[in-house]
Amino acid sequence: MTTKRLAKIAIAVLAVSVAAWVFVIPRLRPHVFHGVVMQSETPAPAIDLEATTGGMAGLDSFGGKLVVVYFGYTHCPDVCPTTLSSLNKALDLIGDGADDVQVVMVTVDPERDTVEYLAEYMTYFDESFVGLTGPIEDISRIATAYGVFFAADEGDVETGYTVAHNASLMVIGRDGHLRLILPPELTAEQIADDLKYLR
Amino acid sequence: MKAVPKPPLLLAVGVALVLVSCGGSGAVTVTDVWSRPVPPVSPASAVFLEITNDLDSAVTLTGASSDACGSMELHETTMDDSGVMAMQELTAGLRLEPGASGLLEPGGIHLMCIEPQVFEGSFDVELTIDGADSISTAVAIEDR
Repeated sequence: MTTKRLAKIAIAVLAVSVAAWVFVIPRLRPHVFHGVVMQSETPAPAIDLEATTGGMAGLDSFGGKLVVVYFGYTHCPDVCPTTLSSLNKALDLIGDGADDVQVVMVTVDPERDTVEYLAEYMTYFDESFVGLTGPIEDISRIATAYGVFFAADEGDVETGYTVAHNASLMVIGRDGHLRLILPPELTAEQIADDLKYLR
Repeated sequence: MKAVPKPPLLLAVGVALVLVSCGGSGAVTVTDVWSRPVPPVSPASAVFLEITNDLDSAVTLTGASSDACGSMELHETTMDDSGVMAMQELTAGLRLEPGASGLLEPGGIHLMCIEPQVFEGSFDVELTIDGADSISTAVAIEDR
């Protein structure tokens, strides 16, 4: 065998090794979630609220997509815009697969967040985002079922008020089970990483 | 060409002494002033920045005003052990000891712009500082 031939074989072996290292081995590694993995045997608590897309909506209204549920409100100046902006960036990072993910925000301030108001607010962040609202009793029941706490401080519509709320994201799998809880401190990249794996 | 007369050395030294006495060893400066874009229907937004006190005495950022906001308040977002985010007004302001910096950032302290009027580009804001002159600066509206 000539030296030239040996060199060609060596280069070919090196190329295959590099390709395996770059493309194959990362896929064999188990995914390490940034969020908290949930393994519930029962389906995620039902949601049945008025949607900004018209009519009533629940977890099964989104064509078998992965559903990301956030409990927030439009008068929230800091956390809610930050979260919705991160989710928009996460969908951009997911790319084509973003169509498999549905972001919904259940308002914790139904007194001020009308359907029309919510629609304008949500679609500003992403055309696909859906807002859900309804009677405060229904929202409280749903939030409690998800372990989400919220409470308005003193004040009324005239004087203004803020609403303390749990800002974690609940990720419901295609099978209708709660799969993941994403804490509020995660970056868009980390959210995208987890959603990409689950979708 | 007519020679420009140089100011007398004594006058120059005198001016320098006056400047030092007025400004201490430094100044209060603000950098990286920005606000996340919010929908035009949004009744509130938040302004973030970094403020540094290079004076010899403590100062307190007490609030701000802007033609682009109905009103402004200094607020702090806090998160408890169970992940519940709440917001309180910092009525005492943000105190900065000499040499200290304060970061107003998402999920922390921010200037809340109530009833925002400007939703893209930038707007001007005047920061009110107890212990120093107020500072006028531009707020860049950026999606970070």
